[in-house]
Amino acid sequence: MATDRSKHLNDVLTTHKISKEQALLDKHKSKRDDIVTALNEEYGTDIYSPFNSGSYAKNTAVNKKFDFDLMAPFKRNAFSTLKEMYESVYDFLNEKYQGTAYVRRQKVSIGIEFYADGDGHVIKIDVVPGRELNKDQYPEDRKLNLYVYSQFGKIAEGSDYIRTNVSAQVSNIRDNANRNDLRKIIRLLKVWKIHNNKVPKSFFIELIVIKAFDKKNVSGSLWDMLKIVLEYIRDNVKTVSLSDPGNTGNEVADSLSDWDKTVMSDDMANIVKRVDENSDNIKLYFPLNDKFPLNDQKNSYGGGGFSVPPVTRFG
Amino acid sequence: MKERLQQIVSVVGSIENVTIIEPFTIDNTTVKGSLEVTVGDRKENFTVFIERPYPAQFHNMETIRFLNKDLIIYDHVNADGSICIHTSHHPSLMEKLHIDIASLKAWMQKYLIDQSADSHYEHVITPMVAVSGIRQVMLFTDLNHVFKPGDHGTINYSLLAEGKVKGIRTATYILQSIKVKGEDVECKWNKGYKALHPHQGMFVFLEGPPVKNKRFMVEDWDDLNGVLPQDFVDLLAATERSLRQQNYLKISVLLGYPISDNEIHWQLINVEKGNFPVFVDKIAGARTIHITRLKKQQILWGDTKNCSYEYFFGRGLLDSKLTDSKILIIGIGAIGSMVAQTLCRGGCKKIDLVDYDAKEPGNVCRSEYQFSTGVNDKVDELRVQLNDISPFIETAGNVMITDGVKFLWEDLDGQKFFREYFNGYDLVIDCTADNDLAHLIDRLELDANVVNLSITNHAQELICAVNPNLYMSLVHVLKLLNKEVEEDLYNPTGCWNPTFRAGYNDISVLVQYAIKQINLTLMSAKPLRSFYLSASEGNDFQIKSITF
Repeated sequence: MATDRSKHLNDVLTTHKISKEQALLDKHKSKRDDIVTALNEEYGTDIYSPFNSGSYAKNTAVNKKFDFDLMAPFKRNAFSTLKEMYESVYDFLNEKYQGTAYVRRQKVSIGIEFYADGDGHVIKIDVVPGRELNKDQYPEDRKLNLYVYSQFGKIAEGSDYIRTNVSAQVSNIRDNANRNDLRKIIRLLKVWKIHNNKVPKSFFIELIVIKAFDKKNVSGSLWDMLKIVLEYIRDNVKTVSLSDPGNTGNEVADSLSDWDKTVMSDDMANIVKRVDENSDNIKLYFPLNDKFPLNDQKNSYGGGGFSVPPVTRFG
Repeated sequence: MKERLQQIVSVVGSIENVTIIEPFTIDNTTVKGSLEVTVGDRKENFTVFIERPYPAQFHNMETIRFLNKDLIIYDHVNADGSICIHTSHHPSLMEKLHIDIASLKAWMQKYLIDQSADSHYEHVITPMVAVSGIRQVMLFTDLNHVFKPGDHGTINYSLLAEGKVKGIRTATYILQSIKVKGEDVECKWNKGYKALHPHQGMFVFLEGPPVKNKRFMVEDWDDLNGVLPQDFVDLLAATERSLRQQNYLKISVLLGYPISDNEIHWQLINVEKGNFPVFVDKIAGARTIHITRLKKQQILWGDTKNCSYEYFFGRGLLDSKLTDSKILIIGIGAIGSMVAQTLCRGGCKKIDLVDYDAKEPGNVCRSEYQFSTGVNDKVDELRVQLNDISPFIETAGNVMITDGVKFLWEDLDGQKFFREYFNGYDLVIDCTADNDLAHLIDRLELDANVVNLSITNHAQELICAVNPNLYMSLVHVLKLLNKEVEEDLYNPTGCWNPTFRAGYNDISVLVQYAIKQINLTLMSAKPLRSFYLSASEGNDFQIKSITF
């Protein structure tokens, strides 16, 4: 039976609403507050106020593989090098959360993944340390330098840093929020990324979707709009320039290797082709979150939260 | 035949720069004559034999031969002086004669006048001699050692198999190792072949092949006096003495030499008991000197084949991302056994197998098993077969692991164990068609590539689901295909478990297509994607591939 593509996409957004995971969200907020308090206590006057910088702040979060990004802005004189800043924050968090969480060095952040609690909830918070460029400059323009711990697209590990303005990145999405359904499309692509374990960073997705809205007349039904964006990415991802709203000198397109861009273009081409060919295929690329079934969600094979195949295949 | 003779004379006589210098006659069914062929300033005479099948080839050989023994030193001339030409097919005798003589002229220009060298190595022509009616063949691989001229010592080799070639008994051996300066240098066979019973022989390494006329191996031991190191000649004599009381037919001697900067070749010589080619020569002088020398005696050359991985799979192999992968195949029924054999023949070096089931006669018609081996664990039987196919494959078998996944699933340590077990492989191929297993493996969120292959009844579709999101893709495709519970299944007598209907050809055409698609994706370094193949019904067979 044919699927109403736009209705399905709306259902996808509904089942992925962050508000459906209120308990998990509250736990993230609580842990975030703990970390902020700890950082303030540890670094005192060396640190400005940490703030939310991820998808939750941008209102583009979905409720699967949910995490918080916490920006930790340090003063210029707090550390002599960015590496020292990064390692200091890592050592501090590792020491503090040892035995209660996995603490990992990531590309520009330090990941804290708390062990599952009694409800099976796993709280994940990425702390992004950044240092102001010059003494007392941060309160003026919010610009920070981030340390690149490991290879970040075309940006080499250890040898480079990223200068950015995370506050401006957050407000970029907020400023574009008046655009019709922009954030819906970003959320849908994040659902695709999460369910299919794809490479592009959320930030990359956000910027390329904004670019598609800039360049194309994105209108029509939800599927029409998504399709226009998918086609834009398919045709342009290999060449598009995506400048960081936090620092126009940063080329965010470089955070994805040429090879990964080719794969993303192929991904988009496949989605458009398969969904045009058979509307049911939309369910593979943009699945509902089975954890929060809709009232009218019926399972073709009967019962249960998710579909199971009949015994019709052999080896 | 007369008409044929006239036709040959007429055609040959009409070809430019070709003169008949000895008239063509018929000897039994062979037409024979002599020609003078001119290319530029060069004139050469050739005796021509045209055999009865001409213009057809026979056993891949041309049935026309141009002979001139004086040209034996030039490239592509056989020991009998015949020029080695391979020309294109033509059904007309007249046209074929034109083609073949043009090819002879081309040979004269390239190898006689220009003396061009071929880019590939042409092996020295070695006359093979059977020992006590048995032809001997020694297989070897690359050896991780730099040999120097004059190196000599002992070898270990094993009998691989005995058979017949054109009615001649043929024994095939594999070289196991060479002991040089106290170091055992091993051939790169897998463990199974290395475990074969060893025999001892000898080796000597020279700076080049001992040849006459550039490309023909010497045929007499006497020709090797001054070529083989004296230490080695002494060793031959000592070996004969030390084995005097032993019961043996012959010993094998390998003679090695470099054929390029990074490749060596070995030739086999057989030395029969009681017929060692050595004698003690007395050189008179102030003091008589005794020196061991080589007799005037025919060398019993055997045959050798370089079976290094590169040659063994030289005709074609899968992409290195597959061949270098550590692979686990779960479920080795029709699909799994075909996948295993295809990967093995494609050069894969490490394939482990999992299946709890036993092979029964009913499995043979559509999987890679044999009737002759009776009822066996599939894992054991397929491992033997893979080992029979490739001396480079290492395999291990497991009959428990899939049961373990289900029994221990709820146990967190169990999940950790299985995650580590499967992540020990680069590629896990699940051919069980077990939905529970597919679901559980998917939930492990493995780093390893996981490919799930299954087929629908009558081999209408083959489904290939890959991780991440493997289970969901599988469910999705089955939903799309709208498969209802199958009723037209095959129920073997006395069997409680009905199975699908499809034959070897029906299944293998889809399995090969799927492996081709996977291999192409890996070659292009792109990520694997789920897909399904749909076989058309009716006479105009086609396979349609839908990739997600």
